[in-house]
Amino acid sequence: MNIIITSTGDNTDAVFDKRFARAQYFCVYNTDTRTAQFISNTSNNNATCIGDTVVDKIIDLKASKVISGDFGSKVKELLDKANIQMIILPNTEETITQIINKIK
Amino acid sequence: MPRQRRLRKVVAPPKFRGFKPYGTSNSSATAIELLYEEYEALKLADYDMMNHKEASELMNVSRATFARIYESARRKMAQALVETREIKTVYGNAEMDESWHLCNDCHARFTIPPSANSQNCALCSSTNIESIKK
Ligand SMILES: [Zn+2]
Repeated sequence: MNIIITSTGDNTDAVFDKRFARAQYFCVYNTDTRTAQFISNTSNNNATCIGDTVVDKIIDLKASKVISGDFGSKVKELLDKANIQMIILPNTEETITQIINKIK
Repeated sequence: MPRQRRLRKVVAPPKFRGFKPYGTSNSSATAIELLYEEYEALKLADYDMMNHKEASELMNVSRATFARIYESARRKMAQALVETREIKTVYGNAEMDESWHLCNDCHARFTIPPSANSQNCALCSSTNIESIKK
């Protein structure tokens, strides 16, 4: 299963990015192979429709869950429709490694 | 007939579960329970600097109700500071957007889509979860 974690950098030492659509990177963590892949969020400078673009990307990445700091109502509606589980973390200072270690 | 209280839909819940004072010996004091709507009133009025009319419209309550919630929030904050008491947020009358759940172990908030094959915490798989929708 693929879990997306929003990240401020392109490696697992990077700090979690609490923004969803405007995150710097998306960490794609595969729970079967236990590997993490980082994808730059190329749409984070687009002024409009950013939520839709990013949700489409999340769907393309075959993610079952998304971990971020906040989800706007429009994004939530789209992710709900796509049956993708949303997770909001209260502690935004953690690194990607620390978050991955919590996944059970 | 009493008017039904309906608060605005909340998309992003507060990003904390509580505050604890430090450097005090009064650790046995019971926590003060700050309702979500009180947090929201305080945020709108004193952080977002809205006037009471704008804030009450946003929360979908009358100005009188807003004033009462806001007053209650300020009193609780003052009481917590003076009596060095912990502040705990409690989801009072706030209406959550869809069904968010809260994990009491890792404190993550999460949705449970119909396709999910587990009703446990989406992050740590804990069964110690509660619904934060009233
Ligand atoms: Zn959990």
